[in-house]
Amino acid sequence: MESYAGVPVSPGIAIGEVFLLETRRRSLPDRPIAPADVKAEFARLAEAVTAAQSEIEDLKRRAGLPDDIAAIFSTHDMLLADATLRLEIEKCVKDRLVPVENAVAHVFDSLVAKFKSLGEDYFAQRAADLRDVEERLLRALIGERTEALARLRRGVIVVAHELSPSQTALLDRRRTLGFVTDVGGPTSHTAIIARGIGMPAVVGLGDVTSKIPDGALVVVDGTKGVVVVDPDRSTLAKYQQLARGYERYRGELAKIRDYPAQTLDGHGVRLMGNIESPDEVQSVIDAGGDGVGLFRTEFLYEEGRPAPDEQAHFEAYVAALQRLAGRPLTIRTLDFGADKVTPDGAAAHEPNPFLGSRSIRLCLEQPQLFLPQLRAILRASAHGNVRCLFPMISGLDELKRTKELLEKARASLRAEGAFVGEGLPIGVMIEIPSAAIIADSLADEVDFFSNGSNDLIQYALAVDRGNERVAHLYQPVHPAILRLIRDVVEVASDRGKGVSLCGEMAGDMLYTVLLLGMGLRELSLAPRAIPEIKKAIRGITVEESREAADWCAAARDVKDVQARLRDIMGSLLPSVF
Amino acid sequence: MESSAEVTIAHAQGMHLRPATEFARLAMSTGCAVRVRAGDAEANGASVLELAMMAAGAGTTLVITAAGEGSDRAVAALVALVRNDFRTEVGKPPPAP
Repeated sequence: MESYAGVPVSPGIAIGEVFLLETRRRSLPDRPIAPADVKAEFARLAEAVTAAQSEIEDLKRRAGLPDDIAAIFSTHDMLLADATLRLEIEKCVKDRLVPVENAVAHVFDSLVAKFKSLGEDYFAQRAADLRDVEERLLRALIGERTEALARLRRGVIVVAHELSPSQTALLDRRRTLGFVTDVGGPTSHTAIIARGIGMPAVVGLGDVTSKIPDGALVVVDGTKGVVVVDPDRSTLAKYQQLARGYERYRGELAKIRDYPAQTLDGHGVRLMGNIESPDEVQSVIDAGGDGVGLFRTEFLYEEGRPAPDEQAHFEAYVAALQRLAGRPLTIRTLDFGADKVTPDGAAAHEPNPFLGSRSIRLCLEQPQLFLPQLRAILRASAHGNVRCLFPMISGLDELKRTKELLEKARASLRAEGAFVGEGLPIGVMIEIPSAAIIADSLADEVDFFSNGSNDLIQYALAVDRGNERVAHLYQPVHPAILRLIRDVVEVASDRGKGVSLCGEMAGDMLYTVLLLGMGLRELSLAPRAIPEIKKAIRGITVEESREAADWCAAARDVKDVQARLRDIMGSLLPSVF
Repeated sequence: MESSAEVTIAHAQGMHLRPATEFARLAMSTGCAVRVRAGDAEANGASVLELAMMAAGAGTTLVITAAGEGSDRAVAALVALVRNDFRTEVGKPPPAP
């Protein structure tokens, strides 16, 4: 029996067999294979080469490929077909008795080292080509494993370096019991997904992928952040009992679904869902949500594909509106970096993409990308209760230019005699500290604010929340964050503007009392968390929440705030805290 | 049947990956077993990897040997390719770095 401690990101207990998903070369464990399996590994290599080559063929077929890029692909193609390379990899499999992906990583490591030792810069630089080819091969090999995710035969605990969005998309959710990853923090992709589907998860465990063998029995305690491998009988019994207790709690939550989100002293709170596709509207309604507070529209854009046209936007919005039957739909406009919409991602490479041309900046830079979305939102507003939300606004001028484009879209619709969405409520995401600080001047231009707490924290504290080395600095209750959010809520309330909060904080019941106390009456969160937050709201009064918020605002130490909130929620919901 | 010839690389960047790609592609298409020597280093002419690993820079003299049917034509074609800065078509710019 071995235990590992990591970051608890999604509560609950899961007990099951490990499905080890190797997703990054550096996490490839040297698991020995039997000599009898060598042939099968050779076959996997051949398949991976074919897959990688057809991938390259697809790339080459793209129209308008510049000659130098085409030449790169020819080289990659030739390298993949290279007999010397194949023999080296096969030899490594046979001599070391390792899976072919390990052999690929090993052979390329030594090739790259050799290239670099050739001394001449020019040759050394070509090492990047080798890494490219290696990546492609590993992807093909590991992709096979990823695909197995879609065909799980029984419930498993997925153990991975980190889950990529595409792996998550493939995942057979009915047969996934929990997640364990090497990297990540509370707001990493895996964490968000795990909470979204209600699976216990522990992340940030270092190189746990090299320590936990495939098929082992593990316990994932997503509440405490503990992973136990090969538990002994008494430990297993203890966790089985905990798991049953947690199930009972979930059952209780299901019952309060149809009650209003109202405090003990009668103040109503709007609980909205964050969604990524029109299908998810159902989960918001099932969870007893009041509408959609954040409709991320990035799902419409596919990497390397042309941007969606106006009609694709329009249809997605109308599909969501029909399911919402009059409840509000808050559509956030395009919110990602340039790499995602440029056919050749490399061309748009920026040294610091999170401070670069992304989101609203990209939209203002490329109106041809933005206008179809704006037109679609305006047209869709004829079909339901639409609100339009602009992300990543950092200053007044940006907001004004954005509104000008909205007017331009409206004018073009008017010229066509189409529905122009007069009176469409517009809002800005408050996710850049500068926007929070000048909220008063932004307020005059909009109908509502939505505090995007994840990015606000990330930008205000200069912390990449996905980087486990600094993840501990990502503190939602940092005094600076509390001041920013408080001020924004105050500005909005004073001017009669709407205000909500749509980050991860909204879905974590630890912060519910604090957010209420700061004056928020609308929260937008993962649909699955709605019942839990509703339960928390129904257990407190606005008066005590104000007291708590005042106390937290005056506190200087993040640890004190955390402890106080834990105390409050602990007395409220002893079964969880 | 075996043929052999010498040729000096003029291409400024030598036999790096992309020129090696052109060389290996042509070598394979000849149907002959092609070996390339540059000083002490020797490579299979059909392997991009081995060719590039020779680190044959500009000014390096290559000894190209082909064995098999039509080896003389194979060697001549490969020598022409090297002389032509690894361009497969006349008038086309040399392979990009």
